[in-house]
Amino acid sequence: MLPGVDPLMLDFFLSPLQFQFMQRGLLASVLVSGLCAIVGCFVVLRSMAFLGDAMSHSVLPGVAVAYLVGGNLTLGALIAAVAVALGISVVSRRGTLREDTAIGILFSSALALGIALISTIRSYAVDLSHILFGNVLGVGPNDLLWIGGLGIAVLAILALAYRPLLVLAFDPILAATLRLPVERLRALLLVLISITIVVSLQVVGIALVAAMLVTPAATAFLLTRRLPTMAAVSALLGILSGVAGLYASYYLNIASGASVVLSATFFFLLAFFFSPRRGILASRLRARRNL
Amino acid sequence: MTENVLVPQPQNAWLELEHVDAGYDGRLALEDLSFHIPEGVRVALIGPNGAGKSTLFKVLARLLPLRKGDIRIHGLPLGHHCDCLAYVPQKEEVDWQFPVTVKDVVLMGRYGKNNWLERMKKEDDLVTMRSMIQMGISDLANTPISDLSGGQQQRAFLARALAQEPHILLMDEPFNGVDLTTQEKLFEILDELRRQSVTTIVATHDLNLALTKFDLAILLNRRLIAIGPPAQVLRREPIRQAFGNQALDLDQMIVVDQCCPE
Repeated sequence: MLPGVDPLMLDFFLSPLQFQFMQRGLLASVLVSGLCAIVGCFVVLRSMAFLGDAMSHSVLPGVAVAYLVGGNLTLGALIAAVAVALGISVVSRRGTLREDTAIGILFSSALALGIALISTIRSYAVDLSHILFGNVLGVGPNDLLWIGGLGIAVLAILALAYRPLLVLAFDPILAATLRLPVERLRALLLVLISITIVVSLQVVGIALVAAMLVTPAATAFLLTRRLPTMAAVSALLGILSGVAGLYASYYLNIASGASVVLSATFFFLLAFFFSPRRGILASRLRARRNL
Repeated sequence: MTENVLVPQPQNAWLELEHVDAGYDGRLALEDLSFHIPEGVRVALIGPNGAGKSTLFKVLARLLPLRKGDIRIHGLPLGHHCDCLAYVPQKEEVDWQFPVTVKDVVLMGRYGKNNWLERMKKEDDLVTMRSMIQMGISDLANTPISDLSGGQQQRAFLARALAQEPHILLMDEPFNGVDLTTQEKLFEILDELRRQSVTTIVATHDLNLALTKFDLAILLNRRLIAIGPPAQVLRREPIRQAFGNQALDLDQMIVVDQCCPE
């Protein structure tokens, strides 16, 4: 026993970890939340929250087909997500429909197609709820490998392409005058987001993954002044939400994906009201001082 | 309209446009635009809202494809000269809440000089530093852009353009909402750029500045109305032709309505 640590407290944190599925769940939750939070910075700064939501829903048909033919669900989701990402970047370049309209049509039809496919299975209610809302306690050793491997790949590419992606997010006109490969960078970012979404499915599910992409990054945006710090704070907040959410899920017996997302929302609300720079309270005080 | 083309056409024209058409969807924003600009001159681009000033900039920056015609820079078609063009956007086009510092922004001007996978070189740091010093904002290097005043914002973006070491510099309404010190600073830099033979094209509503501080004026309203020395271009008739009833004749002085930015 460590000195100076309340044994009750220690027990609170350690007792769930006696189960192997909880250990794996916690690890998966930490990895996924951290990854989502970092990738999410670009989603927030480029105002792609709706797109992230749409892409996560579009994954469902891929998962469903993989499920029906007994294939690897992650692989199915990955193929569907990358296809949708590239599809969106083509459609938005054509520009005949407004982008949000095109996305809206695309993702609701994909969701309907996925549900149609899954509803042909008898046990579909249970399976569907796992896909929609995640099942972090069902994470197996293989899933952890997928999450870890793909997560590291996404972060590595993001680090390599950091500068051009930063320019593209901040000032697309500059990116064009610098002769950066703008269209390819856009597609790359979409593919990275879709891989992140796929990796996160098992933890938070299709319906809630967008929240993990957006909420920690938005919280970090309120608290920081530079993108590298924003990404670090966002990752920290994501991981904290992942851990807090999982413990809440264990002790309060609520769905894990939902409790992870609600933890992130809690941090967001704190920052929204109390951020020293961009918070509601700070701007009220500033306004009063200026009177 | 050729009788309004008053500029001699030198052999070494730096920027040439021949019968350029450009536009969005079905609408042409620029029609049959032809002019030559010699190297190193400072050009005021003047026209009413919707005259195609921004469209012209976008075409030059290759953000918008040409419908018809040719653009040549130093005799070569657009796209052959990497990095030769820098664009200072209107302040309204920038997301001032974006989490970057002044130095981050200026450094972005150097990204095109490198293969984007390489690390930044010492030279890039030096040019970044020099550009900030030139604009008098080196003490703001670590300030987030959200904390800048209007004048400082304009200086930060001009510093970025300087860091690009351009041959041609495009500026969209740089004098809007800028304090007098910054305006003087801008012209100091523009003088320096002229010494370095950098061609600058500045879209502006300010006829007075155009008249006193520029070598050449282009009057534009979808088509070329006139090009030449400002004193000859910015006269009653051509202005009336470009601005229609947006131009007010106030007793020897011509004023154009500038209430409503595009």
